Amino acid sequence: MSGALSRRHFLAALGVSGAFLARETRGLAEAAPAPSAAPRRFIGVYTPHGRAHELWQPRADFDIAYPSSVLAPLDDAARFGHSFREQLLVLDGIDLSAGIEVGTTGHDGSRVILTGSGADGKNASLDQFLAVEQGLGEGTPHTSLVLGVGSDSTEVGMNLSFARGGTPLPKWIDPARTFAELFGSPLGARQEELEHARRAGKSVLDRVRSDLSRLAKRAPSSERTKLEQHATALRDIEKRLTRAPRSCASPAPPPTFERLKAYGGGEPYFDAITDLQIDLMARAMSCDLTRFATLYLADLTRSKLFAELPEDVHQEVAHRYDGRDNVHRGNPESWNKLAIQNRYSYGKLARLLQRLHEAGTFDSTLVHVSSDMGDPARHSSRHVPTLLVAGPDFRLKTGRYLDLRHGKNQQEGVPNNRLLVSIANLFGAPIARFGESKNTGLLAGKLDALG
Amino acid sequence: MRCLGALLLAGASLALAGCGALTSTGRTPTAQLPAGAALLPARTRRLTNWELERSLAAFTGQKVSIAQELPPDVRQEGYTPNAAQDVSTAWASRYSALVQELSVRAAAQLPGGAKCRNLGPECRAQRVTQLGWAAFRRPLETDEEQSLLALVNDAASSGESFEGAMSELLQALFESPSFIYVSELGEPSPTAKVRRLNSYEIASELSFMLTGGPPDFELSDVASMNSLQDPAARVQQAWRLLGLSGTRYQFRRFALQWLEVDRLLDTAKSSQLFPAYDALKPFMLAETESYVDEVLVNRGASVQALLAGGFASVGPEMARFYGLKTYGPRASLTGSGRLGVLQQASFLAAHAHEDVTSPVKRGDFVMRKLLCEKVKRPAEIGLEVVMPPPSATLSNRARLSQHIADPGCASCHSTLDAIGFTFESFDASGTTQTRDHGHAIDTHAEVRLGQQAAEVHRLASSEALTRALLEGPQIDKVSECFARHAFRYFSAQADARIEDSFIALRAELDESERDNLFQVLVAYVASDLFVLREDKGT
Repeated sequence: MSGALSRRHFLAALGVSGAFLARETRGLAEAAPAPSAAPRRFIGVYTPHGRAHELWQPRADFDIAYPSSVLAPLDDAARFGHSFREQLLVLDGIDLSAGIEVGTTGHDGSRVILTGSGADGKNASLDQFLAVEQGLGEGTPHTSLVLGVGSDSTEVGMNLSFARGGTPLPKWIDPARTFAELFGSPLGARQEELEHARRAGKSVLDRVRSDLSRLAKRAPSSERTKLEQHATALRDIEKRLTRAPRSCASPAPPPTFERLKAYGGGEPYFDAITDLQIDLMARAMSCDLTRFATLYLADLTRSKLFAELPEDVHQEVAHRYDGRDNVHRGNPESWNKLAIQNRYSYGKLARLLQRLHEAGTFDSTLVHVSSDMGDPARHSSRHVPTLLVAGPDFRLKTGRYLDLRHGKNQQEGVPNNRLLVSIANLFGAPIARFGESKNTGLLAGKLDALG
Repeated sequence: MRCLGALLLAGASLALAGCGALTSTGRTPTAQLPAGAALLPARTRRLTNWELERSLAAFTGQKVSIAQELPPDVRQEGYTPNAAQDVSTAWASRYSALVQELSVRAAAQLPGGAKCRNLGPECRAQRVTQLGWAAFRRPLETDEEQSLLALVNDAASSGESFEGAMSELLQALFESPSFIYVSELGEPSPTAKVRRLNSYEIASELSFMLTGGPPDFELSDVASMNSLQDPAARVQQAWRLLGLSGTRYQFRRFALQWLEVDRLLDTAKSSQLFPAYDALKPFMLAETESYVDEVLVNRGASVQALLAGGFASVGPEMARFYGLKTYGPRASLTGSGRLGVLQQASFLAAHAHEDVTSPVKRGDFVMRKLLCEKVKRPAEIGLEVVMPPPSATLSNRARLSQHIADPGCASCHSTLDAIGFTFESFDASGTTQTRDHGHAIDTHAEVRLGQQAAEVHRLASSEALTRALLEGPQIDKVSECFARHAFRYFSAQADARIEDSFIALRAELDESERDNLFQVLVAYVASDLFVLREDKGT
């Protein structure tokens, strides 16, 4: 892996010119000490329903703890054991441009967050690009982890992780399933049982792999991506069969939930499910079971967690957001309601960071957090609320707000593709572009290409 | 192959004796593909979760319920059979665990006999050949037999019993690509761009297309005699499969996915406004399933019958919901304002919001699924959607008036909303409503059946809309659109050029046959489009 980028290189890759640098809100001291030798980890998190911008934006001196701030959980050491403000980058003005170009916006916008492509894109999402195509996930039993809460749907707007070829990767939404897949072989299992399972499993796998090779020889090249995906799956399964016994203790098995899904009565359990998924993900990272993961969060609809929110947060809160701009005052009551949803999501982010910190993996982890929309009432995928939380190993100058909005009424933004390029480079993939678009300038690493 | 049945199956087979009323015309359709017609590509298609479940049940003779345990299928144009299904790690891992358990159960029921007590060589070879053939839906190649035999030998030498070795063999078979994928590859040729499917591939394709399951014994036998290259043999088998009672499940799945109601059980409505919705959802779905069965088997399998059957297949719960006087498989809808699937609760609820109707969703369905017109989404034409605010005084129709007032929105919504307004007499859960925020419901609309349509239909209700769709020149458009969607599902593809080839075949049928879904599919089976594949490069 390459060494950490300098601050200016990182921002240049984002396409941020000197003028923008002047608009950042300075927070804390310079970059952290020399990085550790720990492998780098990436986590992508989806938060629903955009943001109440007025309460998402930090105030002077990078104050994110003001009373109604939705980012307050990230600076709440009393509750989460540590403040993460110093490692936080708040990026204002990130656009899901490749999606906007082809109409993959609004509730379909999550398709674009880690792929930089619209609905018909064929490239893998960043987590899969790094873990599979760059081979960075090869050394762990699970090449990557794809988790969600409340929905295992394969619809366009319900996923963050996509394989090469463009199909969404299934999410595990049941903590019991997540636990079984990660920690299924109990440490106390008898050696002969493990050996039997390993021998039989390997025997079956060898036969299946042989059949797949045979099929691949007969199939036309148009089938190659699909069959390679299958081969990747077999390699992943083989890794788990042949790996050395786990050295870290597994957590206690989670409870089972009678309902798991949205619209199926699962909503009252989502809060508990989210916490379990987060804890399992963090444990998987600390046990080095994986180094790449994504988490698709659910919203508060029908959860009844906050009495001040209506049952249907989507229609009655997100769609009713009335934001302030240069000519319009907006409706503060609508900001406050959406802020409850936002703050809840960032509270879950804070829990994840807390767990990583407790496990000692925080320093080498980069967490990318985004949503499908900026202004949810307009179903706009411009200026989507984007955060990076980067451990010191990445040597980014964090603890800042970057305002990347520009143009008339600050309506223009920076394509998220640039951010994905930058992150890939932080993981040692020296790429200059990421994603798919007819407008190739949109994909490239420099803002100048946009004109 | 008959001895395989005795070996494998302890009881039920998926292929039950038929009781349907389908009858073959007795002749083989001779519709020809036009020169240069686009062909399906040579491909491997991963079976859907449901198809795999049926395959495993057919093979083992056991009750198998894995479809809901697997990560959900990827959809293409809303349909689950498609060539985009792949094998991800999460899917493979879960599938492996499920079939491992099934393999143990199935192995315990395999007959052994004296020669298998010690897992002798003859037993091993026989089991590999027979089970391999049944699983892969074709005879094994020599290297495949050797590879599977090596697996069984390895198990035996590790001290496995007959059951243990058979369990490993079954698991290897169930996880093999030859089981999981349907092969539509034919034989590659360095010179020809077109491949012809072999007999076993034709058998698999025919069976999965019409029944959602693997070839039964009779079809496998016909395949082994290489008869399926003959269109007449394919047609005969197609009618036989269509006559099986289990086949209705495949056609139900198509109809429900076409109507976009197959995931109705995963929807919710406002608990304050529609407290009974959760309890009624299963009955709504059951109604549509029964109705589809009746239309397909007894009413000519046409889109006309689906849209305007004039009866309901309801039990007492849905009869009460609809305000009907009677219930049963063919309850009268006279005076109810309902005519067919478009007025069924499942459709109306699936195309509505949680608390309010959606003329846009209902109108969009008609455009996409009945007129095959794709309406651009706002984002595709650079518009951002701002939902109209709720109102304590305005009707839903009045709330949506901004769609027409704004020229950018009106270009699509003047068509969409007009169609959708004709459904306003049914609320978000599908029951009848006569008032909306104190205003009398108004279902009158001036409707264009297409964005470029010149004629304006002055319609008073969704019943009138349905009749307008089925009259005059519209019926040809609706009927052809339905056929396109059927082809998308049954051929598991979504390429408009290939659909054109299918429509060209359909156009050669007699008018009386063109609207019958079964007749059209049989004509497809008889044609070269069914057995030829385009090689897109090796």
